[in-house]
Amino acid sequence: MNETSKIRVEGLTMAFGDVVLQRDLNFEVKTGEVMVIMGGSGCGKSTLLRHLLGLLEPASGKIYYGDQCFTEGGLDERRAILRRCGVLYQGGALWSSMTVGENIALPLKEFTSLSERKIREVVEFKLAMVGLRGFEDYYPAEISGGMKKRAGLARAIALDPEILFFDEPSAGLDPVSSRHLDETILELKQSLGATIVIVTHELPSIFTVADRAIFLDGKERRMVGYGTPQELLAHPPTEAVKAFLTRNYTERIDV
Amino acid sequence: MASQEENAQVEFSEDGNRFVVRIRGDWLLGSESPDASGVIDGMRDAVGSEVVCFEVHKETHYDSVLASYLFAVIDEAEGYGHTADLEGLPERLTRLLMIGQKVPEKEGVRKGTVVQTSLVEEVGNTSLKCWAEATELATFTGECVLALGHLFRGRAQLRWKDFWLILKSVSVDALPIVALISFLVGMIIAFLGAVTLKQFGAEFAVAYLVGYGILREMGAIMTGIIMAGRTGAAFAAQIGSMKVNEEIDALKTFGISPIEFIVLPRLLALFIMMPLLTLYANVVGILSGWIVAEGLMGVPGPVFFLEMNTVVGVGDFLLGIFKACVFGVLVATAGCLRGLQSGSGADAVGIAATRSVVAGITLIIFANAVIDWAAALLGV
Repeated sequence: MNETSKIRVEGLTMAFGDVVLQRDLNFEVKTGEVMVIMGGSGCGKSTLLRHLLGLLEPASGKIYYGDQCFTEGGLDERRAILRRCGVLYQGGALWSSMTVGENIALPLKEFTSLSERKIREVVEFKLAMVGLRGFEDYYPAEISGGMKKRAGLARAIALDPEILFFDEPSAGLDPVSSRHLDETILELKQSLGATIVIVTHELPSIFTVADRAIFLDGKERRMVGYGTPQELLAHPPTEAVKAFLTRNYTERIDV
Repeated sequence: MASQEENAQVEFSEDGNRFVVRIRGDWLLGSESPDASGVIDGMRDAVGSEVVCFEVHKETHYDSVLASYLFAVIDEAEGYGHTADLEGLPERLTRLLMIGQKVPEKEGVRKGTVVQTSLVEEVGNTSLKCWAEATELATFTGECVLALGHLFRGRAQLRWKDFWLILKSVSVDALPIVALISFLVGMIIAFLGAVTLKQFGAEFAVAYLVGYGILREMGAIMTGIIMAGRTGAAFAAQIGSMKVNEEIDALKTFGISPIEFIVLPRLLALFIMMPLLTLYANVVGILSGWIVAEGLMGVPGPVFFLEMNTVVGVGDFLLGIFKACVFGVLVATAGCLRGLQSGSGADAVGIAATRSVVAGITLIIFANAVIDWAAALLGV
């Protein structure tokens, strides 16, 4: 077993009923690296993320976290694994009946024995880390989409997760905010030592943050690229990858 | 790595103009550690110091709990005009802190404490809200009437496919629950008669009670209440989520009237189906009343229906059906209006659904009282 592999996916096939979305995925995410899952719309990127988080069951194949098999684990084992993960959902997915501060405090209250005052300290710091100082008492409905996303990030890092998942982190953000978020991701990687898995189709993000990337082809329904973004750009394994990474729309492509 | 676990500790002292904070032990999310108030108090007393510096013991284990702690201390120190010296901190910790300090807090963003409002202010605000609500209702009603006008001139932007789907969901799909409730209500009325009429030996009169009760009142009311809970709430939730999803705005920007496109089919569907559902509820209710009359009180079927026929007339039946039409419009209006008024967010949609049911039921009972009064005056 490879000590440094944080997540390993073996022969994963994702399907909705009889419709196979992706067949036989094999890849691993090493400790401390940023892995980007890319591909065109509808290729199963977000679905793959949902499989990694146990929100969907694979049609076949296994997912390992370290040495533990996630897909075959019981509820308690899965929960223990997921507690080491933080997830930033596409729209932030803040709980709308709670203030931003309460959203971040909830996991801290549930899973640590910190005092109220300590929790407030941590919440304040996490909000500061995402550039939202002083927004504790706002309800999600009162802040903008970009702020919701950042608050969602603060919630995702509330418990200092070992693994962070991002679903389209820059979708719906302006270039500057999106750039800022990319920087925050890199800083989190360095300061928390977290392993990061990102689903995105944003080119600048892929090249700035990714250590390695996989490319899912929606038409061929399999993973066609696996390597650093630079490698993939230098030697694109298929036309689809090339078109995606060079934004070349001259040929008709179906991704 | 595997050193002894040690409780989180903090000490502080003044050293000339330096205020030194010494950290050791385990500062982890999973363990306990002091909060920043101790050091902050100490700092307030240390009048001579200008610089806050830190010493972190090299065997300290920490995660963002320590960063949060230091962040709070530094924040406070800067509030006193002190400068913070991060020299003594491990690099990883400094880096974490720097992320937090990168974006300063925006002026005036923090929410202050809620100011207590006086009674007068409260009354004023509530009246204004009531007035706004009334104008909104009036506007909505006006728009609905205009939309109906468009419909009759054949110019309404209405999707008939939607209309048929809604028609099905408010009729066929509602049959089982309407049957169950009216069956039970019919029985309840008959039981009521059984207890009271037996004392006068007038068991046959249970037919009047069931006939009047179901046809004039309970048939329409119970159907209306079921539809308010079932369909009115569904309308409010559907339209509320459409609003959250900006679908209503999308309609408006295409120049399509949301009233015609969304409200009109629902209004029409309930207006058409409520009388039919009530008719169905009447039949079921009377049959269940008869079952109790025959089974419990020994009133034979022919006697039951003959008695009913002599007293209860077509007028009573029509009154019930008229009520049903009114209730249908009220339930649809309450559902659609509450849905359109919904705010954004999961909470708001839930509130809209609740309010539509409350409004629907209140309006039904209120309208029923008004119609009964009018009927009594007119001698129907």
